[in-house]
Amino acid sequence: MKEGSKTCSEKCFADMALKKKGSRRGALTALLGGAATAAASSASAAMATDEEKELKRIKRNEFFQKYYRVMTEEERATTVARFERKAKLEQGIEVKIDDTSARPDVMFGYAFNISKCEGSRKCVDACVKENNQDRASNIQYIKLFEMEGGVGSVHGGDSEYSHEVPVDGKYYLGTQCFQCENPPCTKSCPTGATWKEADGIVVVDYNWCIGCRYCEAACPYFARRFNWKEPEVPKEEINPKQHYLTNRMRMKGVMEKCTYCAQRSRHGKLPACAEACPTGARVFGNLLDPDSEIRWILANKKVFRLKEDLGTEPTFWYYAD
Amino acid sequence: MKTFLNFIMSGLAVVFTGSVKYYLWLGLLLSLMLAGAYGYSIQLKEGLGATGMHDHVSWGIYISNFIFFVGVAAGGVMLVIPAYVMKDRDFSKVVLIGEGLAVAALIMALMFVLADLGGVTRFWHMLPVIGFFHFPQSMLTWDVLVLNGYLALNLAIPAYILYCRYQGKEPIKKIYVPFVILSVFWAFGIHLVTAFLLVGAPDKTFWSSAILGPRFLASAFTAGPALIIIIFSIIRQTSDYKISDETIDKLSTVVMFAAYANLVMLLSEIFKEFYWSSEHTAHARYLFFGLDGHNAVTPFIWGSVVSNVLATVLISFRSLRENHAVLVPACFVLFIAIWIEKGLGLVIPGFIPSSLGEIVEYLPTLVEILVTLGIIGFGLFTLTALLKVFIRIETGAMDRNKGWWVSPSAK
Amino acid sequence: MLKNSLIAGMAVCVFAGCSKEPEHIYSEPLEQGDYDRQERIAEHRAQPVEVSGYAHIYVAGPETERKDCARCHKPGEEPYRDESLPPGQDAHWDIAIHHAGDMECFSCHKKEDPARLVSVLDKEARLETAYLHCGSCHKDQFQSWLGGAHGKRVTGWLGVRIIKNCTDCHDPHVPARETTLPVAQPTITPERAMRH
Repeated sequence: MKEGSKTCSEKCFADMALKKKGSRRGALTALLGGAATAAASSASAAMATDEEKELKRIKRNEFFQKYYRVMTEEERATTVARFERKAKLEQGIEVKIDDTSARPDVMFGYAFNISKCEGSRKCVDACVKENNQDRASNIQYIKLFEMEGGVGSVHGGDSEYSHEVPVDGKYYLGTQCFQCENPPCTKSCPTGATWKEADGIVVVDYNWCIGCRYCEAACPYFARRFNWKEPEVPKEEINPKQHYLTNRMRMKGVMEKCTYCAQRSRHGKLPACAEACPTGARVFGNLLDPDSEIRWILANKKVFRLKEDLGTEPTFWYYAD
Repeated sequence: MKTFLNFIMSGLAVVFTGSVKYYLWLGLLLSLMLAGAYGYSIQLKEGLGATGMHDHVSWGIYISNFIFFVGVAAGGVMLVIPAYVMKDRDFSKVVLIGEGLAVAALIMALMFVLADLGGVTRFWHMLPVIGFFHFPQSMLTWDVLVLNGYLALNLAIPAYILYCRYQGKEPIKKIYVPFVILSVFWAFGIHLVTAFLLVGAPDKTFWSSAILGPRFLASAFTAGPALIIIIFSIIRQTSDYKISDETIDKLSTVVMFAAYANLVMLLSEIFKEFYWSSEHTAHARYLFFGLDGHNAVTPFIWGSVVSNVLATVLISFRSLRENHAVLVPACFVLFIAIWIEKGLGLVIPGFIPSSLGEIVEYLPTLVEILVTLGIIGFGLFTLTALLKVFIRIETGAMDRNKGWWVSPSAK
Repeated sequence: MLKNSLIAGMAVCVFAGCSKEPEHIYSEPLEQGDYDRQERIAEHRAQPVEVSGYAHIYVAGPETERKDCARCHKPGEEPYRDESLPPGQDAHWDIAIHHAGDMECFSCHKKEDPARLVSVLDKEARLETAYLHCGSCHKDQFQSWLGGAHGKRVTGWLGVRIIKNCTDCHDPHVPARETTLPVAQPTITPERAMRH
């Protein structure tokens, strides 16, 4: 495994910039926030209930909220609590928003067995439910391509099949975010709203994203999904176990993506797709653990990655029996 | 300070006074802007889902127009080189028009980017100091820098010159010429950086071409001056400002050579895309011939290529080029042809087929078209206003000794 | 009676019941939200894999309880016959076997004690250690299963590795998997998205 040496200069730069910013922003936020408070309080009608007022305040604070990466621990805690409260006020549901960061000595990797996958798309179903994707526009992170035997490029695949699976003579190849070690998406983001975490997961700070969709154009794997409209999830289907950087509720105009279910994987669980897979075609684990299943596969199976020539270094491998 | 206020006031007075035809023109632009505002209000409420864009084609006519108008802005300044560097007297008279055009085009380009943002209220996140400016990694941050820098340059130079003339003073060359020269290099910069924005996407094989930057420049130096020729002919008809035939001839020569360069590079791309056909060239096949029965843009690109070649052939003949009854329509055709080729024909096929080979087409919605028209209306208004003030000052109809009210007789 | 004789599979040594402590554990100290290691093992009724060097891998108990074979099959005796069955229908009459062409009951089950499995090489295994038996023919799959490329982990990626037995995914009598209708139909064309 390369330890991300390629992107060191980028990281160092970002770190420097991050350190510099912390102090300057505080004053400005206070200034802007003060002005907005004054404006809003004068505008709010006397009729407004306490809850409405609170919701207004929450939304205002959300607007002026800092970039997640420059927040202090306390600021993160307040932010998370604010979103929990917002869910309660807006939808009347109790959600728990976690902001666990990457575990030390963990770098996630994924292996996909193209001779085992049967194309049932149970992974897709589990993913959508786990990650609170918009049901109206049917956002799906995972695509399964039904591939003709003898064809290796997904350009020859069909992702809209609806017949009984598996079909003899065909194989199934799943794509999702490959959490590249050298991700073009994070490099292209003008606000740094998407970045690679220490455990290899590429995340988005939804509140920092301005919705320019440059990352979507830069991604060679069609892994990113945009909220073209206000996302809709029926209240009873909302997964209340959320993470700030992954499956918390999104809003219109922001980008989202697969995060290897960091809300689960950072607590030792498998991503929803790997857990739901009925065939065991999906293997997930720690690349830094020499005894992990993923390392055994890399050492003992013939593996390949999609578009390896691009130098994106995906942490998602395909293998066959 | 008082003089400066007067300058602004008389400028505004000039902009809003004119003949009936002029008011009709303003009325047309105003209705375009209102329609655009209406479209944008829908987009703000519903989100970008109100446009025809989707995850497969995630950039549409907003970004297409953004790229095209950056080109127009760069092209406008092509007049500056002969004017200031070669000390051509004809050109120096009209160079301010080119700069005015650059300002209007840049404003349009920036408005298109803003219209394309999903979270326009969070725009401040990318500003340095209060946000996080992901520089130098993100090419978008480069574009923000060069475009705003260019806008500042092109506002400052003409403003300085015109303000001096308004006061009856001669502008001091030592002050503005260095900035003029800088703006020439900057013009190359804005269009190259905008090309690199596309070239930088690692697996968009349709854009991934070293020639894309130079191609952008060539088409910009065709479309920009072509538009200026059209503007000149309008100015000659509607005001008593003198623009000599010689100036227009020189400009048309610039257009001709740039059109040649543009066609040569287009041909090079077409060879690369079609001699050996692969997955990577599917975008070009989609653009020119359609894929699997999907061919929404095919008629546009053929119309563009054919009219581009025809117009270029026409202006290649000296006698035709000097006949303005031919030149102006030819320039108009060239301008529209490049608009299609650079906008629609460059951005959208880059996404079709998608990175994973899926073919999903894109058609703009009414909302998107309204917003686009609104922005163009605003751009044309800006251009009209700048040109009107400029002509008034240059023809001596507006200076500080005459107060800010101007009789609505001229123009 | 081979009841207590231990079986050595191909290059495989069996530790019947006497699991030694795992040589290496995947987990770092467990964090809040992780299961306790022993709890997980108990939850899945897991047993260490009885293969030399792999005792740190656990096999989950069967998901559905099996019938107790010993109810009818007493070692050394003729099996109990259900006289209520119509003539021609013996016990297990409804089990069809479609496994590698011409296999029949006693290709795998030991005639004298059908609760035990016996391989073509005469090596024995229990139903709980069916992987040893399956692995006697399907060597590649067995190696992949031990390594992690085949089969399914029932726990998270962290902590003790508990995997499913072969017979939890494959019906040993008809090991080929059935076809299903896919779920979660994608909508990739905007027209379709609009109709929703």
